[in-house]
Amino acid sequence: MALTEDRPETLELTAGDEAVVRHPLGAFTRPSGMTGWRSWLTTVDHKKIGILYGATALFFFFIGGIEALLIRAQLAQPDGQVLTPGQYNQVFTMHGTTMVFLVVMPLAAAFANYLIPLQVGARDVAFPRLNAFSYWTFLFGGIVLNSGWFLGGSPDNGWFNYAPNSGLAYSPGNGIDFWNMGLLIAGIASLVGAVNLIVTCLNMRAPGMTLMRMPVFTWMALVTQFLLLFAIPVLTVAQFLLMFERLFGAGFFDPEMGADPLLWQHLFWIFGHPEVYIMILPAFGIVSEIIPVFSRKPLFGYPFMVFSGIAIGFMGWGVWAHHMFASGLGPVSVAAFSLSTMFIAVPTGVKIFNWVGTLWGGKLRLTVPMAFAIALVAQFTVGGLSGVSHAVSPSDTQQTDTYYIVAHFHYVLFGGALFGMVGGLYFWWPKIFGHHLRDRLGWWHFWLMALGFNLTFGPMHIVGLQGMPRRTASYAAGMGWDFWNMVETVGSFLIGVSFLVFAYNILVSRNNPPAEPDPWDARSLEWGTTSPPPVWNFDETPVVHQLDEWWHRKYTEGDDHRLVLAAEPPTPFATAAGPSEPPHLPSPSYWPLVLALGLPFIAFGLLYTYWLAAVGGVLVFLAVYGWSLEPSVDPAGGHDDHGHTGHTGHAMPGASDDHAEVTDEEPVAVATTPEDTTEVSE
Amino acid sequence: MQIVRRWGRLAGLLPLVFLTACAKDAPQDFLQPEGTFAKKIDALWDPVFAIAVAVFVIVEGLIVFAVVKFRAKPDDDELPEQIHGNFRLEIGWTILPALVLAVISAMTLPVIFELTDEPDEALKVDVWGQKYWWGYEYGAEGNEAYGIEDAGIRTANELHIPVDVPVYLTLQSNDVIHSFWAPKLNGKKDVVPGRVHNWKLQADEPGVYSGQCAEFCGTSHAFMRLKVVAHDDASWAEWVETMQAPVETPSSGLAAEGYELFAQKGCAGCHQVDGEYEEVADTAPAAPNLTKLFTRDCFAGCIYDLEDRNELEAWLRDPQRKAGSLMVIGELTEDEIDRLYAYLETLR
Repeated sequence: MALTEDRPETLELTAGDEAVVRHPLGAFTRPSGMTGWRSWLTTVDHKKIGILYGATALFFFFIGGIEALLIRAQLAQPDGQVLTPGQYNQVFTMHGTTMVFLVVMPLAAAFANYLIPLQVGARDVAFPRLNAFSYWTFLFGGIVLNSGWFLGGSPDNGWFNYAPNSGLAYSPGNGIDFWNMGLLIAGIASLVGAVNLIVTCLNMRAPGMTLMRMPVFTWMALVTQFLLLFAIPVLTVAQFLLMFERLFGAGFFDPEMGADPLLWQHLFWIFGHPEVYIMILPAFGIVSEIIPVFSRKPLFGYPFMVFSGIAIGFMGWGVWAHHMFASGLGPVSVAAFSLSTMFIAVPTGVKIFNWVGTLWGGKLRLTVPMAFAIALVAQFTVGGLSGVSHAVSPSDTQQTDTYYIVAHFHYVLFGGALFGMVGGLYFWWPKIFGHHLRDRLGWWHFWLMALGFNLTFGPMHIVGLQGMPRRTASYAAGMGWDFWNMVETVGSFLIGVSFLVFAYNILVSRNNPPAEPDPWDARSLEWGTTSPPPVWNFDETPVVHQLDEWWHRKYTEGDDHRLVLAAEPPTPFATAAGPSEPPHLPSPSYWPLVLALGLPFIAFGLLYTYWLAAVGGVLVFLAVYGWSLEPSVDPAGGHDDHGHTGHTGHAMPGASDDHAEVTDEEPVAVATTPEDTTEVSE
Repeated sequence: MQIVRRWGRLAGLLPLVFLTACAKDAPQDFLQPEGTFAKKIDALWDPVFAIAVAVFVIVEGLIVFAVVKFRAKPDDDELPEQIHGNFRLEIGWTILPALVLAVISAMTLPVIFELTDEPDEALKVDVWGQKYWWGYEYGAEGNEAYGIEDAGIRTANELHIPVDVPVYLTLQSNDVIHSFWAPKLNGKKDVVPGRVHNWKLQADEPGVYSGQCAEFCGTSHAFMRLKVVAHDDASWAEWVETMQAPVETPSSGLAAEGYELFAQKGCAGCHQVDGEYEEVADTAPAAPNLTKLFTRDCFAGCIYDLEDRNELEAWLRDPQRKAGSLMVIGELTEDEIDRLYAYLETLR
């Protein structure tokens, strides 16, 4: 039966398990399920991948948070005995590495993945399977990084992992290797993701969406992807050198063999400083979306915001040596990097002022996401100002490697990036999951987090200026640090409580009533589609006429040039009925997962036995082979659903009936593979 | 309103909170410098901090004001005026901060070079960093004016200097990167293997200044501390004389037995005692030079009090009480510990 159903229509895919056998590589059936747990392993939908990124980042945030609380427990009092110095060094190393690579970066990736296609009016990212591959490599990188907890010792040389202490002579265990291999793998994720999202931003924007009509979040995420594209390879090079050093005694950083250990520092910070902007720019983008929405007026100085973001992206490459003012650079280099570091404060200052300008004259609705966004502006300002005080390099020779620095970068990355991203979660939660988070719990979360954060990291300015060095497993009594360290520990546990409230909020909010498609009266395209958006995002690709397109479809200019609500509400970009034409969507695939799975085998193989690496190599080879032979859209996808139920999930409702006629008009049998023929003969 | 109160309070409190940073009992507080170079740095910090506080108050004030003033009234559905930006204003707040930063830069640049210049006249000390203690060597060459004679002086953890004289340090590492830091006397300088770095110190008043390794260097990084002891002229001369007086080998009693044991147990394979156990090359010391051990107050990276007999005995029983310590001594009987202690006590 049903030649008519053999059409290149990919939406109606079943839950896979009952699928008809199709063998792209003779290995296993091409997955077709869009619901159920298995669909999460094979999905190429940018929204599902975004959710996977976010959930995984929150899981690692839990681990990194436990590590943070262990640090604070140890330092609550002088001569702390909670951890041994060896354990403490592992915990602070893993805290930093986890928060940077497995929390803030993937949270940013979660937002970028989920939002960019929606904000530019696309169905998906440019390379959906590569997108899935990015997520899986990130996950496996994170697992390799954390495997030390179970395999005899975690990395213990700091997230910066300076040579030569990272060499075999001083770090004979496998801890440093887990750090190195884990981040090498996670780096592939960032690099692939960067290429993918850059192409998406540049090539897949809806008609009419010029670059200067792109939402600011997408802009900042785009700048971030360019930073990743150029910064990650530098880290990767450094890590390859380190890998050769540790596996084969290459001696790139070994002074005994004539090398200069400062080489590592230069490479690491050439990556490491752009990395700071990689973490903060997406959060800047998020609050640049939130603040206008709740001020009910456009972002103040959109072009300045965009160009200051780009300026930060460029200048961020010229300041790395400010991490090395005490390392032994000559005074001329120190002077040059002092200057460049001073002036990177300018574009950042522009952003702060423009956010204030956006608030100014608005009619502010103080919601939970708005509170987090305003907190970012207020707290990032503190981090920016302490940053200027580090740019004064003679002062920095006092401040560097003290808690003053710890205070600085937590005001930037926690008070800034994380507050912004948590605000983003509250903001887009109704869009992503179709229901709001509870408001009251949200306020509890906000106030506990804000209070806890400032109690934890505010006093670190003081103990830092009082000369308390960082990365120290304990401190002596009588240094004047006791009181504030206790305050910091209390504050840190408040932060812990605030996130328990958040977790509770996520749990109890599941049964909240469905959210409106546009609950905040927002501005960009994603608010014009349903909540949550359908798999195909938009029934028809929206045509963009101006910045904040969705907003301008809702409001028109009144008599006195004031905006008033349009007489007719705008047509939504998606409806429950779905598009009239079947949307062209990529099909799920196992290969990204298989390919990513090969990498940890190679990593562990290099450490333990090359046989394991060979297994990984075979997996990678097969996956690349299978992937390249697999069409991105399964020609047979969706024709085995006839008679099955339970495949509605994200699939387009009512499509099969609607399109029976369409295919009748197109007598194109797509039964080209033997499997299809088999099925047809059934 | 909660937001307002909160940030208002913070804005008011912050400068106050910073003042408490100048506590009297904070021996590493670099906002209370005690030496020429540290004071130069502090003189830069003061105006920068003042500017930062001013900017902080302005920005946070604007945020608080905006949040109070522009809150939407309930049931007010009318849109505010849709302002898209203000080019002149934005150019203004691009240029103004740049000018402020240019002023800060102009103040900063000369100090960078001043702090790097080699002083014309200075006490020169070689500093060796290694896991997890500091070694110091005062060579005779160029140091005649400070009373250092041919053999020079070797000591550990406590750096002794005369007041009001620049001290020019030559920093080298025997293993990984460390960072030499005595906050009240100057900023920090990394000690990098394979490289020779120089750094300056100067104390304006006699006293004992606390410091520690500031670059993560491994397991016991937190326990690689140091002291700088600044002497006035008379006490400097006395210290130099003591340090250069020959060591007397104990000839009888427990101390003499300890002297034998020091060699038998292999202590002398790493620890040098000038005039007695000199097999160890006098550069790149593998373990602290013990020549005048009991003139010091602290040992093992300055974390244990030398005046407390129990501390040193506990150390001889188990040097791993400091995690990652490289000292290997094997199990000693209490009797052996007594003898060793008796010998070490004569090193003064």
